[in-house]
Amino acid sequence: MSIRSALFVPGNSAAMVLSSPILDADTIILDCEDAIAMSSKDSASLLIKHTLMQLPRRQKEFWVRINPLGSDFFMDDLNNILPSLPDALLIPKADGDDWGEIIASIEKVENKFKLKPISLIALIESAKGVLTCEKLAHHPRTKGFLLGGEDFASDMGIARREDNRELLFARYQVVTWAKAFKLLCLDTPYTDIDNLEGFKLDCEFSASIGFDGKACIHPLQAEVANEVYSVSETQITWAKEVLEETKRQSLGVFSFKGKMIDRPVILRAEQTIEKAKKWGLLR
Amino acid sequence: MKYEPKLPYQYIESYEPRIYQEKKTSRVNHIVKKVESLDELFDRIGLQDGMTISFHHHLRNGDAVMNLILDEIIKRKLKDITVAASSVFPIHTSLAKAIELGVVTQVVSAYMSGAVADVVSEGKCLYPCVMQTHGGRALSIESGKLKIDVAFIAAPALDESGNISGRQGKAACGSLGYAIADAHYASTVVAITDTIEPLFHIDIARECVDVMLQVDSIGDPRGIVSGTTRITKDPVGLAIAKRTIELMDAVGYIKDGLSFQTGAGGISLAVAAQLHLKLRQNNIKGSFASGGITGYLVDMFEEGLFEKLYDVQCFDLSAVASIVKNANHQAISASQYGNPFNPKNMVDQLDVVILGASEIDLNFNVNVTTGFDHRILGGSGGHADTAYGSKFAIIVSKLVSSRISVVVDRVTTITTPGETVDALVTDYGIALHPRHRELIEQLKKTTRLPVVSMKELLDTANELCGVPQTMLPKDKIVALMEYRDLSVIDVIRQSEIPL
Amino acid sequence: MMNRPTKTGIAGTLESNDCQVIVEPTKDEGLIIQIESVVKARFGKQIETAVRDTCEQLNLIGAIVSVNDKGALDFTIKARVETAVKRSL
Repeated sequence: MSIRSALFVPGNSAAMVLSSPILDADTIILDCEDAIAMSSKDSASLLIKHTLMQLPRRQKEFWVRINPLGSDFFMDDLNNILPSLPDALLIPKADGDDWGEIIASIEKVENKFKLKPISLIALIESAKGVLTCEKLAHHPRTKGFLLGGEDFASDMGIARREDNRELLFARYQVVTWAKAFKLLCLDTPYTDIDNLEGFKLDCEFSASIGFDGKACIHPLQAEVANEVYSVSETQITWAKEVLEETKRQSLGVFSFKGKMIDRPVILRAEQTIEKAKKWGLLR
Repeated sequence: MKYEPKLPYQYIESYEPRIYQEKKTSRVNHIVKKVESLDELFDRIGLQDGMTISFHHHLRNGDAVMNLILDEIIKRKLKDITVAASSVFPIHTSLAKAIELGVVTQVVSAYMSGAVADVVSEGKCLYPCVMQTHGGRALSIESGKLKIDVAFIAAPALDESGNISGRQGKAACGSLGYAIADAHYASTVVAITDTIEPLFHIDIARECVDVMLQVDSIGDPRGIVSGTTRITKDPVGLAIAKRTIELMDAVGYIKDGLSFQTGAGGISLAVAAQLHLKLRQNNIKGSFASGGITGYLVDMFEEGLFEKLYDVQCFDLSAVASIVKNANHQAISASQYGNPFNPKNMVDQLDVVILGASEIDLNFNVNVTTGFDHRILGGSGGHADTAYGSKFAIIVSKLVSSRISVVVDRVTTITTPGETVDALVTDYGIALHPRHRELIEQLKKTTRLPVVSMKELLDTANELCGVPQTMLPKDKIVALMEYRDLSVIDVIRQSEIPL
Repeated sequence: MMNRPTKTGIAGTLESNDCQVIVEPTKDEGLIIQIESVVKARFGKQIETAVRDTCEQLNLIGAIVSVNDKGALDFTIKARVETAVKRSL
């Protein structure tokens, strides 16, 4: 899973759901949770169910953020949505303690409908979630993390800052555990949708410490995130050259344009090409 | 039927220039007669059954002059009048009434919406109406094919001697481009104003005017902005706009000297806004923007991104303010704008035009005139003119809105022939006319633009929406579609579906 | 098992690309479907089929199902019908 941008779309808006496959994000997260009023939870869940069954996805991943364990809607969401085959579920308020119980519920529904195991993304948005990353990462069904800064800050009883300094520990913790277990790791949404400059700076920092991509709450953000978390033209050219040279060389280690090329470098070049292919950057 | 185009449409690569002499400029000692009342006006002009009268639409949905005149015509029990109005708007209810009463028996216009479009679509007008283009209208008048007996010109301001200005007065509307041919060629020209004062700029000289009348109000200037939209905030519309700029760039049009026109639809305006950013970023200066001028184009012009604005009509009040103060913001007539035989017509000098569509078909024919149910809901305006003249005509639209696909098998009505359209940009991909085979290959090879075929877009739409039922009309022809060279490109038949 | 509404169930909105569905109980066991749509002339049959199929899958009887459609696609119509039916039970 290489994802630069994952865009939240309210699951109860027919018009927004309909246009989601053509928006700029790599992944669409159809939302049953925070974007939906209590009185519309059933409606959103069912709209997502029917949408996923019929709407052409156009090479995009479609995830669904379901309601949390312990809410009235958790089981309904699973029963409605799992059989309509989203590409992943985003599980809110995830922490190491509840994770086993959540997965047991999901497996029950999967067995009932004879479904293949779905990818699970843990939405880490509490102090406990941040501190129990290790447990989440260890679980074989976990495919990735998404950091939720807003809820994390409220859980900590602190205010959000424009520079996100209050998230530093959480960001390093979450991304390092994700990388240690080869999991996808997406960064927290940036709430000021009018400030694309600030959004870009935030993306650049998070990319620099290892995040793969960003959760977005507006299509214009997704466009910026795609740019920041992408592979550059220079990287692609370099990767192509390295791979071509590798074919010509018989040794495992060789020198190319004054740099030592060994297995890890070749692997990285392969990943670069793979990503470029996925994101349509190869000409 | 008094005005009847007969020549069948055929694509013509380029038109031989023809110059039509303006008749009235030599009337040096001519004096404009000032009348004091509608009664005196009608007594003086001698309007009779069977005559053709004309109006311009610069006051758009704020116009009060057409209703004023038609109410009087109804009162005087005149019959068999032809109305040649450059466009007709919902406010023109008196025209609808006159059609239903048989007072008006034919309408010749480049655009109609509202009650008039309804009565025409329902077959209530005795003779088929003629739907023109803005350029074609000028040609039909200049060439003498469309003979106007009396032109009623809503004049925002007059001076005491009868010169007309669009730029001052209570209902200032800027350019009077669509009234110029009428003023020069109608047998009798009546200027109706609510403001008589000294003029700082003359748009139509008194030599053209025969009679002047002052009334309380010629209309509400706030109605000028009617019919235009604001820039779309819809992310899908914005994405289409950005993609359009990328296409223009890839084809090589984002360069110094660019000439550009855009319609006033939400996505078209968003393209203008994106072009603004692009020109500014790349430090590129265009030569001119033309057509209906909006505030968005004025902003670009005032920032120096276009050298000139050629304005056939002001679409909003900031365009009106600009034409008053900026010397390089110039008014042009409909003939200078889009008459195919005018050797200096502006559309022939356009690089790129951005246009909307209510339907576009597998042959790239575009319909902006009727709905799928054959009811009239608009008209070409300058659509067919600019598509023909420009080097690259781009249609922008969402593929599907409210279950209706813009891409169809065959358009209900041909407004603009596919031979003159170059590309369609939608949220589901870009289709280029098959004659651009080399360009299509080049774009596929060297860019990331999502180039698809029109058929693929149609299939996508059908997959999303289902295949729509087609609506056959009744037999009766309610309007002829007159192409800009005055040939007939299509007909509109009476709608089967009542309102 | 057949499902019979006991109260009025409403779902959906009157925004474009959406539809509003109202399910009301009737005295007999029949199913009455009423459709109003901005695209009725073009898609009336498809809309009717989508509504009827959904009601049948949900084993609905004894109901009037009124749809006010603003150009929703089939999956939206199905979702709104299912929600309104479930809310009416």
